Amino acid sequence: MIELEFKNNGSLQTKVTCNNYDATVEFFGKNYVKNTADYVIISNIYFKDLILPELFEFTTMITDNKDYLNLTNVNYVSFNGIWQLNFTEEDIKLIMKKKLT
Amino acid sequence: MKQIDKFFSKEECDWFLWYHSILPETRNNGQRLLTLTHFNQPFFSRKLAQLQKKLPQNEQITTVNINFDYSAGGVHSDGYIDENNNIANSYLIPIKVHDADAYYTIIFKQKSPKAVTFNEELGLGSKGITTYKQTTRKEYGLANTPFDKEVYNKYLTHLDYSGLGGFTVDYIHKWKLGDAMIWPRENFHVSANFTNKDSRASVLITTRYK
Repeated sequence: MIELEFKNNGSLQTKVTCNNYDATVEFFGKNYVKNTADYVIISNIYFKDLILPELFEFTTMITDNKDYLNLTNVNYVSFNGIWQLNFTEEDIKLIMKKKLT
Repeated sequence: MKQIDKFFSKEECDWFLWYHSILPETRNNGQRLLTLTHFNQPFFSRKLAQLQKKLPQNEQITTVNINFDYSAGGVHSDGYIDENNNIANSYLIPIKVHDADAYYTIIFKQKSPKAVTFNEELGLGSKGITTYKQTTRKEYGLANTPFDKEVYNKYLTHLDYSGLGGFTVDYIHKWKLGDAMIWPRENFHVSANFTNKDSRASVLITTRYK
């Protein structure tokens, strides 16, 4: 199971959905005029109780900002949008291999 | 304290089997496939905290290994390797068993705070624990008292009978999925023989006193 930890600095709200090998976070509610500096940091990704920051490499984000419409490897969020994580068991094995050999 | 019932739930047993499956390296020591859990790495910190909570407050984890045994081992202690660091207890938790088989671990009254093994003396040669010093009955100073023949015939026929002279049994643990079998690390112990050679797996946790 995937678990995400957030540090929320401001007005951005989140709707989190976690499945076995994918997760989606909808970020919404930021007013770009009133709350310019608001942001969220995704501080940790847990997979089955293991802390695996390498999983950020498997993330994408679509935002409502035309200059930053499609992002990858995202742990800092300052736009409204959809953040997604997708990986496989093989990806986990490769991450562990990189960590330990 | 000799055992903790339901130390691991079925889900926790399965977690360790899964964890073993994603790790890149397993060592074959001639009796078992041994996987180091890298319990001191940051990525394992939440799991380590969960394990530590299950143990007495005055004990600190020093080893967490996953073992897939395909052969019964020899007599050894889980003492210190280089320097005595207040060794405490061994916790052996079965995470996979074969329903048709019964598994036992025999704990002896004799002790060694240093990690040593009698594998060669017992006819197992260099198989099994490779990091522990091989010792002999003579070096250890065991008496020539014949070993309990009934215990030998029931549990230890994979070993040379003569090599067990002088050992006396303190306790016989029966394996049960998820239950922790506990003994002082300095006590010699041995796996009983078992039938289905690829049928069992366990987590071994060793501790030191804080």
